[in-house]
Amino acid sequence: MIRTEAECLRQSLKQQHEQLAAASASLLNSRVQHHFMPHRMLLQHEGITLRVFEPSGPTTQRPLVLCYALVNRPWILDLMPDSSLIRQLTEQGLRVYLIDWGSPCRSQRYQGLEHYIGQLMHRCIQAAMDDSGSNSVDLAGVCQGGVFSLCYAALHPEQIHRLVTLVTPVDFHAHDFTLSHLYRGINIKQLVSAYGNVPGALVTQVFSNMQPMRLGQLKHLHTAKRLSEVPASQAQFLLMEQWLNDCPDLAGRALEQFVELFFQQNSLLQGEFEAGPMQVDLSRIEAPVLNIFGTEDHLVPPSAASALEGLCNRSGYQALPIKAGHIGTLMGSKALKQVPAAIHEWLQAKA
Amino acid sequence: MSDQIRNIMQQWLDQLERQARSGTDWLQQWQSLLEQFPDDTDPQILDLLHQLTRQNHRFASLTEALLSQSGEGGLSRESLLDTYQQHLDHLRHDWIQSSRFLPDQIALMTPFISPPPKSDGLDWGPELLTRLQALSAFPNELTQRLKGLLTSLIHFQQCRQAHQAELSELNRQALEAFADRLQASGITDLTEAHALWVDTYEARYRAALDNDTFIDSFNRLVNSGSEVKQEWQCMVNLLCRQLGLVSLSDYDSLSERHQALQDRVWQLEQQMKKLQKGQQRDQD
Repeated sequence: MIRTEAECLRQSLKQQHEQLAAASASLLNSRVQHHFMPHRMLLQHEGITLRVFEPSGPTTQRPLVLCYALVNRPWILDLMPDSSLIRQLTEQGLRVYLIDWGSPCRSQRYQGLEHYIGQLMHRCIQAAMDDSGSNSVDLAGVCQGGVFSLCYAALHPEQIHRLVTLVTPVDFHAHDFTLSHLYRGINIKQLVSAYGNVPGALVTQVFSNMQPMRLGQLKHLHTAKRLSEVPASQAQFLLMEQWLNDCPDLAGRALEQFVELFFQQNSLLQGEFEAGPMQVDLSRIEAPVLNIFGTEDHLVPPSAASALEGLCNRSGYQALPIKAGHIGTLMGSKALKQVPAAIHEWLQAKA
Repeated sequence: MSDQIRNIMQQWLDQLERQARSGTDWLQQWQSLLEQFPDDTDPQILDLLHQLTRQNHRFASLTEALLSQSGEGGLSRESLLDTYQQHLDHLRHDWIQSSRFLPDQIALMTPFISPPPKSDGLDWGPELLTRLQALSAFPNELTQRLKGLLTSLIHFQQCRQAHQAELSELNRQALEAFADRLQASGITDLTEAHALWVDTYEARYRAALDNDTFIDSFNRLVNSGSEVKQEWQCMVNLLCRQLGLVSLSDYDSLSERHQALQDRVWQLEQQMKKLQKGQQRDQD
């Protein structure tokens, strides 16, 4: 029997109102704005940005280029001083170059994967090599950026010393890859034709639809309680909310190719594919690969990420499962104790 | 502060006033809070407040409904589940109405033509279609376009109703499972019961996402929505052309050509670099 005595329900309502009032008052008085840790802007071109984060101690010569996804923004990797993968990597002595793809405008809707990977990413990696005086880079790709990184490592194997993939899908037809189930039946040509660039808000909604009741209802129902009880968590909460809603539009052609090639045709597992004039043969990848994924990731399940092993030379492959979800693997407090050190160790290891 | 937020807050105040039984401290707190809203309040904060308010409002309505039915000894399982079902109908309504999968043109109009969920079916389609049909005294080409748009709208409405039915079935199944788990759990607190509900629903929803019928229905909703948008854009393009304006499709054609030229320049630059490197090697 649920306790539904009138007095009990009234108390519950009153408490709820008080929490909402306290949280609202506190929210209205807050101004939270994200700022990256100190860095240099190395390149700004066609809306993309390449930032350089200098190491805080002795450095290694070879640069580490972080390639983020087109979906959402890369500042999640440096959310706050104590929740920053980039900061931790620089503290390990790594000079980090971060690719931010920016937001495509309508006139960029015909930019395909060959443009993003073959031209823009190439330009960033050349800039990082020129800046550091190195003739190769270590490359780390996050989620969709991991797919881009695999493609790039196959296109320019001589430029990639070591490769790190973070929460990167490889087997898009893995049985529990729910996001892929959702994308596979969508008429992507029509969607792109209708929208031009696909609105970021639409993509965000696909993600929240993975857990509609938890993310759409319960989260907001509990937020007032949490904020009124733990005011210190407010800044991080607001930054996370800002980040979740900071989803740039996706260039139509690139999205169309990505959905067709990977979600629908599962081309990574086939090893060879074409995106416009760009021909990718994954067997050309020479770099050893460290594959980091979350064991509780509901966006890119471990089964989809760990399939990378089948594409790599076994002696050059290492997996690092982290007990976290998709975002937790990148910036969760437990993950930040493991991931940066593991990346550093992997990059410094002798071949 | 936007009128929308002010209205929401006002609704809250009205409701709170009705419910006030134990002093007015918190009511005054709300009132003073309302007065504190500066006009330049961060839109993210306002959006968040809107979300918090909407969810809390729904939850408060649930509590109120239970309160009105509750006797001294509590509430029967059947009454609780019935009330919960109504609560879910409202949530389903919110979900669909706030859904980005609605073509923007319809999303813009729904606040004006959408009935409350109790009337069931979100049956704004016929009214909208009638209004659009009344506008059909246009030149032939435009009439054809309008016909295409109407066809796509009818299709979208069918897909939406089909997906509504899927969601209703999902709610029904989840509610049954919830009732069983509730019985076994010994939970006596409403908030805990709600958490159990979310857990149960998410499990059912995950199962639905593995089900081809549900996925097909979702895909048809998204595809028919983009079809409406596409038809709409075609009609706007046609109107632009007739008025001598540059249409979005003209702009896109230009962008496509620009992109092709840009890619060609890139290829030529790369070839030139290769040639220069080759020459350099020969000289060395």
